Amino acid sequence: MFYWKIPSVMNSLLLKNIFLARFFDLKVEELFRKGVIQKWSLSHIGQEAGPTALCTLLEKEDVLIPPYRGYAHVISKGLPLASLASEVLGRSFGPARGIGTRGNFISPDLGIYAGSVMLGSNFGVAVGMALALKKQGGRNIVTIFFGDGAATRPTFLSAVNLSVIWDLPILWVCENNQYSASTHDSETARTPLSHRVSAFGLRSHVIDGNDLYAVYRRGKRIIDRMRLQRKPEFIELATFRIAEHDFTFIPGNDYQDQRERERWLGRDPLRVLLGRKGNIFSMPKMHQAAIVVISETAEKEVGAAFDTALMHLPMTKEELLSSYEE
Amino acid sequence: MRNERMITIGATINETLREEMERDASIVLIGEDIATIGGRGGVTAGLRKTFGKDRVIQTPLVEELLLGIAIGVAQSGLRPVVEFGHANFLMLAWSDVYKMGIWRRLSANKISLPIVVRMKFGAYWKYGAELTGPFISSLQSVLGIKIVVPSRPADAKGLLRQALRTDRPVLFLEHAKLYGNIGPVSDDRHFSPLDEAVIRRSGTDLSIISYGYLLAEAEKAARTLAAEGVSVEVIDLVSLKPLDQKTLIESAQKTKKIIVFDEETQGGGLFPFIFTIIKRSVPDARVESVGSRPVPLPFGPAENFILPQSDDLMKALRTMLSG
Repeated sequence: MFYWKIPSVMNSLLLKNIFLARFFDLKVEELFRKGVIQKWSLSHIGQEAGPTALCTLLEKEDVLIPPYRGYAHVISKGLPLASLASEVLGRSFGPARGIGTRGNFISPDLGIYAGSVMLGSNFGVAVGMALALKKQGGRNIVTIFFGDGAATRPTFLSAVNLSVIWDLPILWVCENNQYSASTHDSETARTPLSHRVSAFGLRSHVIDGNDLYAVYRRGKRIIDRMRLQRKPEFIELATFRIAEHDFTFIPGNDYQDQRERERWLGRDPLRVLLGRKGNIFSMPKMHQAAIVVISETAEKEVGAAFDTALMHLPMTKEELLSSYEE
Repeated sequence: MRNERMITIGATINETLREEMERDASIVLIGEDIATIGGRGGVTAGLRKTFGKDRVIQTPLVEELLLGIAIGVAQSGLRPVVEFGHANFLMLAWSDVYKMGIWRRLSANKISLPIVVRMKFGAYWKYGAELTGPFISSLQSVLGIKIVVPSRPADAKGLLRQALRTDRPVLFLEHAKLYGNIGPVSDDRHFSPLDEAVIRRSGTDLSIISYGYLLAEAEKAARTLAAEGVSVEVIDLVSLKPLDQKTLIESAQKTKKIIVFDEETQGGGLFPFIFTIIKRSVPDARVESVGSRPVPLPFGPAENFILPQSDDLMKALRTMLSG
């Protein structure tokens, strides 16, 4: 049952957030194909469930360091859609004034800090922010997301070790989408990441990253525990990147195993959400109606957000230069 | 000056860190061996005992992470002082040096990064090329950072105090040979600007531009020539980034003869930057470089075959004066 033991308000929020993330991603792709978004762009489709569940669980005062791929994280952490759309479109209304890099939706008042395309460079930042939270006391945590590719940077295990020896409240979340650009996970290490981090003394969990409710249920237990115990934990979200590494990659790749790909396509988080049959008509009528309303509303909200964003302009040359103080 | 005392550079940095940490509870120290043995040069000795584990954070060997940690600590509203045991270890953190400089800008100025990075640096202490390398020139192209080098205790105190009240990253370079250098420090002299050179000795015939350990050699050469009736100006750069263009240009306008005396590579180091600044404003000035030979420093006393010596400086001075 998709609503299992989850309060209905929370359930609606989870559903809303995952649909917002999906429609947002679809819209970005559409605008990229039309040439409205001219820089390189990345699709997160297929990976939304885990970040949606975990970031919906976070409080405003919790620190989120998102990865460079994806919108589910910041949407679920409370970033207004029009603001997000503006950044993606390079408009000055965006959190980083339209000149941040991919994944940079800096909003300290919402507990959202800058992602980075210099993969691996934010692991130390997570440690630093957790040191500050620890010094300050309280119940808040740092959550940092990264891919299986970034996890092969030497800085990762080194930072994990610091979080363990210093008892830092960091939730390390690896979205293992099986491929680091075009390199399969199996080519990058002999042992699973969860084993590697366990060896450092980090409590680690592997969760089906395409199952919104599974991540929510286990994530809630983990986060609740971290708020009290003040120790780091690790989650590997097993998931799959449905689109290419980025939109400039030539479609029709030959590096993926097609059977593996088809299996994952059948496990698209939205299908998983709809139940074992992946079919909305297999759900009770009441839920069918609710989910239709939620998804339609989400699609409209995303459309409206982009309409708003498109009314804003990029920073002018004067603004760009004057906002820079050496 | 009131309350003037004689104190070494190492001791004054220690004392200043202590005073500043008492003043500002947001200051935290991060680095290797900084708690148990007080870091390199004993500069942080005793601070763990006073301020505890949460404010004097001793790390394993994680240079690749140190500045990332500093960025995280700083964007949370604290003020980290990071120690790199040797400045050469900074090369392990190069991507974060760059990140530290651009991060505020990329974050739409919504965060500030009040980070002080303390480092023991410099040649003439016989530790070889792995621990002593000419790389200050490569830092010139990094946006958004400041670099200062105190050459005397009063500057060490004033610069550190100023750096700990600035909301930008500051690399604070401590010359290995100068930790024991003793000099007067006044408790009244609170701050030294982070972007100004200091004229240590005023002169009219020729200018020597230097910093750190070699400054004393430059002053010695100036005294020798003064006895012969030659008036040499000695400029202590203090700030290696940004370079104090005004002071450099004014000195060049006055003397028209400039020697950049730098322990980094001859013709390299800060020379190209200083040369450009001066030539653009004073085209008829002569600007020469005295530096080390372009050879990795050998371990031990043989480094003196590579590093510029007082004789090299004197020879260059006489050549320029006669030309």
